[in-house]
Amino acid sequence: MILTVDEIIDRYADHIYRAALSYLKDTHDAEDVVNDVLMKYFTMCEKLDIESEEHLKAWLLRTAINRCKDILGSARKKHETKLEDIHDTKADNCDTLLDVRQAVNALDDKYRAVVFLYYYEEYGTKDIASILGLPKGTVVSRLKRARDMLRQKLNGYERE
Amino acid sequence: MKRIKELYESDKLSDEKKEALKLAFRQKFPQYAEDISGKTEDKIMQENTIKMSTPKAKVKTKAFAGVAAAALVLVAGMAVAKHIYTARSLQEPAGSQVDVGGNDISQSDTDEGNPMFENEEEFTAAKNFFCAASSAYVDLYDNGKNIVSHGDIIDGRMILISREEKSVNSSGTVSELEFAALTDEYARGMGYDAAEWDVEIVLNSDEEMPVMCARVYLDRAQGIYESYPPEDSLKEGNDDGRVDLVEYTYTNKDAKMLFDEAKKVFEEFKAEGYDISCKDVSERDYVINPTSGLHIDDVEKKPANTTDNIIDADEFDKALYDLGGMAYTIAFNHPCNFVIEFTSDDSGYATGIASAKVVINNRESSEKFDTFTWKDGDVLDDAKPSVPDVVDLESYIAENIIKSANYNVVLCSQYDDSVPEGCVIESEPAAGTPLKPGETVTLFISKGKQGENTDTDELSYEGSYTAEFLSKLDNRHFSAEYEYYDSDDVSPDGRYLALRQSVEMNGDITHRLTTNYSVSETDTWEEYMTSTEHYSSINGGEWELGQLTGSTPPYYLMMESHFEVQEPVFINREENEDKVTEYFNEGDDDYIYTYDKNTGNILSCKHIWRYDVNGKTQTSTTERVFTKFSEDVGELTLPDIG
Repeated sequence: MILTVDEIIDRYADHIYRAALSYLKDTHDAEDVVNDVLMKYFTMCEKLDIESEEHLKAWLLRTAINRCKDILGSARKKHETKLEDIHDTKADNCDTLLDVRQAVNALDDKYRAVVFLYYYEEYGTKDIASILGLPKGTVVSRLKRARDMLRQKLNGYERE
Repeated sequence: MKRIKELYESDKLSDEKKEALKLAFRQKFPQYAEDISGKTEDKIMQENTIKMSTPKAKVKTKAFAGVAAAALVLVAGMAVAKHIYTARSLQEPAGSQVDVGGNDISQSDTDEGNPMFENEEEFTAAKNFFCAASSAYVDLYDNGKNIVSHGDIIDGRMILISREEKSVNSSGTVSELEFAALTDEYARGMGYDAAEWDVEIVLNSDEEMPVMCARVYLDRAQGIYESYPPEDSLKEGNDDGRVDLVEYTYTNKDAKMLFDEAKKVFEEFKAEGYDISCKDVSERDYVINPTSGLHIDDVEKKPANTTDNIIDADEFDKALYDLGGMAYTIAFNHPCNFVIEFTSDDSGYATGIASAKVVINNRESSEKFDTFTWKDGDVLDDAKPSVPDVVDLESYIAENIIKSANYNVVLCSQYDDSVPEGCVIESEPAAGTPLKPGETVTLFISKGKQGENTDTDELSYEGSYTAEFLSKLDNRHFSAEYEYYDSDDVSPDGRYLALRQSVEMNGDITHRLTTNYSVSETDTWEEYMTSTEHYSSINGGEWELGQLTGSTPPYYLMMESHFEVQEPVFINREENEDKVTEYFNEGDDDYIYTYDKNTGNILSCKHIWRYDVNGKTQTSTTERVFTKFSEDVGELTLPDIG
């Protein structure tokens, strides 16, 4: 299954972008990742033998996250994007969302990736384990700890 | 946590950015700029057809039209079956031709552009057998009969046997054999004789339309066949994207069923005043001739009634077989046999059933390699189930079988000269071993023959420091970039745990990366997408976990501590002559470490964690066993990252 340029951008560019942003916390780097992932896809899509959109999405997300790790590693810098950087561009419209953003961004990147895939992309822990290349148990424990940390930080919002 | 979803929802690429991307990629990849979505839409529409179509309802309409004459029933049935397989096919070419039989199946898929098959003759045969089986099902369904499926596969042997088997069950059900007979009738009407093809019909009794597909084998030993519908198109509903192929496995419960059937037959004969001779009854193997593969040697259908009031072995077999139960299923599933043992009196007449055995033979050599026995007086104890036999099965099938038996699974890879790559060499504990649910079964998966691929090199990570390992990578011309991350994870005894690094390897890796101690587990996402293998090691007191990820360059070797231990609480310590076992708890996580008492080397780590799923606490366990240890070579020095 091969999608056209328009199809893949319309359907998946936002997903790739969100995954990258959740990992890198930098809008410019996230845009670069979208570009890189699309480039990789169209360069090798004939060889991928992807048969369903679900598999394609998983492949794109995995490639995006690997690329994020690559960026973090090759740049040899700790991305500590200021919350304000993102907030300035997003202009969250309520304090609650801002608090959530702050809490999520304060998580270590290994937890953010799991949170993104679980809560936004709604993957199961088994699929997340496959996408991130982690044992399922690690995903589960990271998810649990991330939830604990978020609950602690978002005391009062936890039921939302 | 819905706020989190809202949070991410608000993060989007701007429309301007998307348009810029589209423009750039259209120019760079003009071949993908055109609208090729027709393929996708076709597929979606076909899938909708599958979901929305109700074969049974359509079958009825067609079948009423076909009541007038048998010939018309055949044609109507074929037309309906054609409709069904059309619905299942993902790519039915447009403009297919209809032959005089109302059957447009023989030509259409031979068109160019259909990528679903390579072997045209076998594919077309599979398609016709599928059509025949569907027609048979339709016919039976409209006569108010259901197929009693004991196996789930109707193979060529059964079809040929069915030509001589004329029994009809009047209870509203039909046996697999009767279904096979009707399938054969339709197939031969379409010019396809089961004697000329190595065919099998795959059923799934859970489906509304139970005829799943027909396979025609080119090489059964190698498992090479053409399937119709192509099995790739049957993936719907399987969340891992694979088709669950039907495999026969037996347990003690099956032996019990066999025992009960034998007992029932025995008691019925006795009630009618017959004596059962034990002569030649002690072992009746339903041996299917593996060379012809098309007939059963000694299942001779004799009437159960006897002229001398003595039931001999063949007559007892016949009665067992007629039950259409476990004995029947076993008889038609080479390489399985069964054995019924009788208790007898001094005159050589049976006084009861002593035991029933299901005997599974090696597929290649026909040697017995597993037996499940049920003896008179045995008690079925679900609390003591045994490990299913999954030897020789593909790993994902085996994993599903083990998990469905409520065991945890750990996969280990090793080379094996005889077991094909990806198949189970053996399990630990071995098949048939009583084991409580929740325990762990280790499956040893074959990596194929060692050194089979001359391009394959072995990168050994035997106890070396990370730097040494990276050096080995460099020596093989991998460009490696890496970074260390700090962590506050510590081991229970205070050792530093959290060395983590990312290594990108740009070479075309055909190497297998191994450690000198046991590989703990393998996660496979999709064979064509990504495989992840985990390697554990001890380096000078450090724990590390390496994960090789990616199926295409660049590959990534992620190395990090596996055990994210934070302030564990010591619970207990046990000592015996050789080992020390320490128990720790950290919230929902339990850790059990076993050390060699003499050397201090850690032997195993068991991590048990609990988590909530829909308000219910689930438990998972990972155990890592270490069998070799590196020398303590001093303090670990991190390579210069530069």
